Amino acid sequence: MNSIESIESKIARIQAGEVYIFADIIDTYQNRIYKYCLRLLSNREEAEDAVQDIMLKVFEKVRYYQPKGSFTSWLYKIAYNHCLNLLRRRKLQQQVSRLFGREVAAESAERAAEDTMFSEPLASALEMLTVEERNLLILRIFEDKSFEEIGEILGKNMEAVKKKYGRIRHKLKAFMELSEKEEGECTKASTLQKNKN
Amino acid sequence: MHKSQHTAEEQKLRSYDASSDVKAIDVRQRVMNIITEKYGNGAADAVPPDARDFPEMMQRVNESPASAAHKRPASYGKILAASTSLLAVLILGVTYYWYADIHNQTADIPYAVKDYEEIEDPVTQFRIQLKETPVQPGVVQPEEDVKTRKYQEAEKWVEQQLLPGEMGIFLVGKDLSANPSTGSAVNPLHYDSYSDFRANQTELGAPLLPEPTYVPKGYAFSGGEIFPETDIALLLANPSKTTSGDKSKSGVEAYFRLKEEMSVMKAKELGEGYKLVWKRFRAAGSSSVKVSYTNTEGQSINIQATALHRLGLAQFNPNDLEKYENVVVAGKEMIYLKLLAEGDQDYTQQLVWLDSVQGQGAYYSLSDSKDSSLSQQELINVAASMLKNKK
Repeated sequence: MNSIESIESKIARIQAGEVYIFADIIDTYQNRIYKYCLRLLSNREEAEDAVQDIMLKVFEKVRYYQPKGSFTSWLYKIAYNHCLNLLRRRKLQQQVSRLFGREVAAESAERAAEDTMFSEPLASALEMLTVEERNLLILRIFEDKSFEEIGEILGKNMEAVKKKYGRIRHKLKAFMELSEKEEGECTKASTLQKNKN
Repeated sequence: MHKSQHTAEEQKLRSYDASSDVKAIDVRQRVMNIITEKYGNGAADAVPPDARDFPEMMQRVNESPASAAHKRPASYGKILAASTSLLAVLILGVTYYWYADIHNQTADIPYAVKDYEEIEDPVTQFRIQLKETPVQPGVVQPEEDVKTRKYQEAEKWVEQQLLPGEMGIFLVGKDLSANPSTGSAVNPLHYDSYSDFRANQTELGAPLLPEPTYVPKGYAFSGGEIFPETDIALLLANPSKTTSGDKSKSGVEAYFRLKEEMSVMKAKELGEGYKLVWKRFRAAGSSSVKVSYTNTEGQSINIQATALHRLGLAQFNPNDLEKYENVVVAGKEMIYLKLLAEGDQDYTQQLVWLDSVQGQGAYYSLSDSKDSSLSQQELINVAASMLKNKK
């Protein structure tokens, strides 16, 4: 009566009404998705809440899930769209906050710095990219996704993803060099200041 | 993609990763609580459908009341003798026709054909649907192949350990504490006579399966099976099936506990580094039953009834089918499926529908066997006789 307990067969059991099996799906993916969200959101609390919301969304959509691609890609797609919405909302909130004073935005920026998942100069360089560009880099370099999988997640063909990735890499390299140069100049200025004193 | 596939430049970018100090999170319980509060947990929270949701498609014919006692006229001996003879002939005739009607009905049941449309139960939202499930591209990795083989070995081994009416839950994997494969095996209760099957079906609270009053010529009842309850959460949360309350939430917790408890049990070695642990359950109930009718050539008709689980799904791949359509038989909508001849299924055609018998909603499936010569009409005749026999 049972087949191999792959993720796909677990999904089939959930679709057939064995709701509690979904706990295994959460178990398998929650920390992977948490790190992914944290890389996009740079905020631990928000990322943890996001994982909870993403898992609920996955459960709600699981009965419509069609195994055309991999389940993991489907899950990342939901996670990405969720984070994208959160970032857009955050941007809007920051714009509104600026109208009432800068404290809230400053606090958020400070917290974001604490929760950053990257060290310099990559962290600063990533800030210069759009969310879409950052996402592509994160998926490829830190989430170990192939171009084919990234294509599935983003709903684009593999060749288009590869081309875009190439362009982003150039952009990132330039930003990182700039960031390193600026950092070097700052260090030089600070040393000069120190010697002057 | 593996680390080795990264370019040197990508490897350098990876060195800026500062995620190693990120503490793991666990949102399982929170998410599962929200899910069970919002949607229930499978059959645990399924509301039995009432008559409004499953209107009776067939009018029940009122049985004739027992004949009133007649006062016998004492002086009409000859008339009485003649009448008795006539009555005996009539009874014999009626009995023959009744028998022939039950076992070899010849009149075909009319039915209407519609385009395929999925069927959904409005109460539990259980659905029967066709959905394409394309074959996953790519080669099966050797490790996945071993995993599949070991899972099947484990399932077979557990099945052999079970007594009739028992189910076993098992964990199989290399490291049983690190997300092993979970599964269940069952040994159904078997009955050789329909009356025994029927009596136990009622006693165990299994879904009701009306006896078909028509089966094609040459077929006869060959066995009934009652499958033990396989819903782990339901078994753990409410083994007696008699208590009420929040079964679903406690079911999830109990499932976690069981997995933890089982992961440290003494394991059986399956070879190639795989281990197996399992636990036996004597189910108090059943959510699935099956009856078979077989002819002398070994071909069979199999009918299964499965209790409706909330948000449950019965899914078929249209790529495996030669023909599919909805048919309306005696007011009841069903889906007829004819499989491709080159398929590897053990039947050639199937009728599936949702119905309620005595207030219990169930998913019904009626199929023939490989090499069967039965027609779609004969399958429909069997289904119609089941609808007619709902009590």
